[in-house]
Amino acid sequence: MSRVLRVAIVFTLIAAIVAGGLLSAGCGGSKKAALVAPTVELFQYSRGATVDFDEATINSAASAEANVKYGTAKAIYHSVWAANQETVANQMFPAPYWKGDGVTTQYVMLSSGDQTTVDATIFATKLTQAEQDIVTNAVSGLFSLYDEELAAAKTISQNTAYMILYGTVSASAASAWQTDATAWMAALNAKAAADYSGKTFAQLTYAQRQTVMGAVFNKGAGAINPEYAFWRAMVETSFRNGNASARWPDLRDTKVAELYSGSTYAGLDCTQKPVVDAAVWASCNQTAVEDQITGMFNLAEEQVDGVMSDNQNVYYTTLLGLGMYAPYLVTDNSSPTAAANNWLADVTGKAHDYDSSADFYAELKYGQPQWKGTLTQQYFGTDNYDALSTDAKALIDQADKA
Amino acid sequence: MRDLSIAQRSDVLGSDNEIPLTSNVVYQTLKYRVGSTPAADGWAAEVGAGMDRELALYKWMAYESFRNGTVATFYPTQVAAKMTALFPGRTSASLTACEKITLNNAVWAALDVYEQGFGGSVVSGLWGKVQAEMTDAIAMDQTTLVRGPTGLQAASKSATIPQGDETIVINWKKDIETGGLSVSASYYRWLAKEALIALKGLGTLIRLSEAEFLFKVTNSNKYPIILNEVGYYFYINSTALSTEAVKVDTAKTVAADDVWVPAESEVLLKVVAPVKQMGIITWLVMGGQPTAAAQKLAADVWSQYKDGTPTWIIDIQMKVTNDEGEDMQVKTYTLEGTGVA
Repeated sequence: MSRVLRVAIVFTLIAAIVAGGLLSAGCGGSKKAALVAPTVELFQYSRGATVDFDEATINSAASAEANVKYGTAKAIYHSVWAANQETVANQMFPAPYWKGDGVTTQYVMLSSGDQTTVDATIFATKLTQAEQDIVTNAVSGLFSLYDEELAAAKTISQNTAYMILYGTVSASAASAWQTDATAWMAALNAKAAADYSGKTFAQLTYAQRQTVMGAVFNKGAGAINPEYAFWRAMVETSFRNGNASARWPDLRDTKVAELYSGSTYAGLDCTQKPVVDAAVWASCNQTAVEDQITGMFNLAEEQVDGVMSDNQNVYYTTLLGLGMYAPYLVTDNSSPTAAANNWLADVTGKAHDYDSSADFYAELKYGQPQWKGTLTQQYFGTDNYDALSTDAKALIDQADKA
Repeated sequence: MRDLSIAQRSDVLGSDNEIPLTSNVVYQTLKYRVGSTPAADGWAAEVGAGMDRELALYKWMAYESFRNGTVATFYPTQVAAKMTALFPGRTSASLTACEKITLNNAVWAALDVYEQGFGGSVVSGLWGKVQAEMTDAIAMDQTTLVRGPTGLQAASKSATIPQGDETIVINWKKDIETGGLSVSASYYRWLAKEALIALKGLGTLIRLSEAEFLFKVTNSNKYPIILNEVGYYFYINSTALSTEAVKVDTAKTVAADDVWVPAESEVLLKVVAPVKQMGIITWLVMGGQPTAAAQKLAADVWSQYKDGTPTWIIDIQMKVTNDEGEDMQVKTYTLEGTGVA
């Protein structure tokens, strides 16, 4: 084979190879094997958490602890909520998440859950730690009362009311309350036994206990209950002493001079005045003071109770007494009842608020001065009204009037 | 004596000739000697309701001062403010008894009407404690916590629980005695639980979950393939209506993204499908079931689902192409199984 022929064969082969390659390159994409659909199988399944309204879900959701806590906080610190709830609500639900009138968030328009969220923020950020503790303690008080109710009775001297009186008023005030409280419990147990087949008060239902307590107390007409016994123990003595002090202003001023030299009664403070009042009481006609207090409640009763016939009126009975036992002191002593009946004739047909004092004085031999002298005798042991101090005269004038 | 005489000639309260309680000698004593019109008004209100006049007088002589002193302990912020205003530079411990009264009165006056109302309730609440302390043990379900005016039973009354119903009390007690709950925990539960039970009828709106599936996709081709527009339809059979099973639409989802499966390989596809009972009911109704039947079927399906091992019937529709997006085939697969190995 000539050299030229050998070269020609090589070029031909190369050309064939190149051509074959070009042909192959030009048609290769459309020659991919036909697609076989994949196989699919369920490999694994797992159930996610479920939200269901079953017992477990309800129990996990049912807790009013936050509502009680924040409700209590709102009750104690209402002004804090009033000042902050709208601001905080708008901070927590800003645009575009308004829940209100469309341009602001309004606390009242929030759902209960959202309100609780706002409440929690106010509680945590607007109350001091001391105030938060007070709320917590107040909530705990709910359950401490429960514990107390389930416990056996304490001795009376361990009672909260007793200890308050003992610590802030006096041992005798606490003791007076103790007496009342003991009688109260005895009355409750007696009533329970009588009305509920021999049960004790503690064995009654809540409603039965309320019924028994209401019946035994009877708005003060029955046994005095622990609350009113507490109030009475707090002030009864000071009220009595204060009446003594008001009744004898001259004696009061003497005691002021003895105890607080250089001061006047009006200038004494709230702790000094009771000391003076007690000193007056200790050295005065105590029966007269007690009568005076009784008289005040009698007047109060007459002012409230129904109309009394005029022949039972205090003016009538006073004139009747004078006519019978001191006829020389009445103008008309033609009979024991003459003066009283004259007054009765004067007032018959008159309006209820008619001032019949002039008719009364007219039946006295020496008129109103005689009556003031009588009162002066009762109050100060002398009938010389004119010799009284200004304060003492004012007291007699008041007694004449009241 | 003149006033007494007039009083005796006057009629009872409420009549034309009455002497109003505001003219009563005790009212006047409180107003002018104690110096408090609110105390006098308090006395008149109580006496008007039948309270003994003398006892009411003692109460109202003492009440305001005691109340203000008690209430001040709840308001440390106001106490501090009033200390600064009234007794600058002083400490509360240094105040005299009279100064403390002044301080307490100022704190009380600074409270709003609701806070003052709370203050009144603090004092009235004291007597329950006083009475409890002098009374022997009472039954747990007869306590103030349960039976009091704001106790569990009264506070949780609703339209669903008639007056006098003992359900809440019984359950509160049961949860303590046999359920291991504390008194407070059971109280908080039953204060709220009744309202939730009342919502139980809406349970179908609330039942929901997510089911998670893994599908193994095997590509036998010598080139990658692409899956797209894959729709998954999950069913559970129910025989709640009859012995003939109803195939119930339980969940649906569509994957919008393309999935590449390499040549001669397999991949695991993770599909999370929401299961909502309200959706199930809707699909059933739209499919022609009456509402009651739909609710029954849905409840049965939910029950099977919640029990954890339903037999799933799954339709999967997809488009499959080669890796160049050609040779598209639309395929539907129907699978059945629990998916549990």
